[in-house]
Amino acid sequence: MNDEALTRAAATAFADIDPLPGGVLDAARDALRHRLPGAVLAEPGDPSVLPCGVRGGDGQRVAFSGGGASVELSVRGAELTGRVRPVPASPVTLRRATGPSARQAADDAGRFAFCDLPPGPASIVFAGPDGATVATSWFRV
Amino acid sequence: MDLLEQADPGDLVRRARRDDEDAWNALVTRYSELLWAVARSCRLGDADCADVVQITWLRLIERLDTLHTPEHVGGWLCTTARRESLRLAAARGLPPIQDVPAAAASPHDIVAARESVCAVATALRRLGRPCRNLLRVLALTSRYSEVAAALGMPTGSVGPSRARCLAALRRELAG
Repeated sequence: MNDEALTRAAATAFADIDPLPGGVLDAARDALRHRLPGAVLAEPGDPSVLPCGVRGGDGQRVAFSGGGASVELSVRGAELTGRVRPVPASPVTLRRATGPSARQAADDAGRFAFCDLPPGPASIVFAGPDGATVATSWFRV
Repeated sequence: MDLLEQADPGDLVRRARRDDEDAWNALVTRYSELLWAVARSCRLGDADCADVVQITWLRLIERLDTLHTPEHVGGWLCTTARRESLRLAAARGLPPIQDVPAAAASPHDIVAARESVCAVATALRRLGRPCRNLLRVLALTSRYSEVAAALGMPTGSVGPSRARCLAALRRELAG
């Protein structure tokens, strides 16, 4: 067997041993509907501390900034609390990669909380100070 | 769809920017298996591998309009998936990759593999993890830059490593 044939045989074997589950492809195709053209991306100050979805610990905190606004988030188990500054003029939206979004008006200090969240990727969307839509980078709950 | 499968990845990105669903699906079809292999190379379980693939595609969506070199989207996806995998592996308390010895196949695994898969599968199970990961990724992309990004190795070492791992696989097949 030459190198190419051996590589092809290995490909077949890997596909047999550890196939890509169909649901993974469905979720990947579905990602396109989360596109927000024109939205400003709020990025984490330190990507290494992005919440990672490990439940039962002390939780993780992360700060995002972009579009003249900042968001501080705390993920603890199935609860997400946060604060947007400056205080947004319209409700904050919690997007989920799978499942429905949720909306909630922030209080006078820009604080909000979402509870009983199923695990999975999430993102916060809100109106920035100049009216532009701002979306945080995806993080895990 | 056949034409899309052969399309340049940069063109697919540019079309996806215009909300072309077929182009997006073609990207997903082309790279998802590779991203799964990247996550698996970091020893993640099924649920975490699925999570890494999903969040990698979401990261591409959030940067679709600002990606500087759409032609290199494959390498970008691999790098992103590897970074996400390593973060998740660390959060799970898995040891650093280089500290993990090659997994020894159990007699049950070997018998099951011989019976249900084929000799190549059995030989792959006997290989050390680095070679198994490399051969898996090479089976999914012929671009050495993507292989390097997927496994966090220098591009220049992909060719020599490929030759070494294929030789090791041949030895296992002969033995």
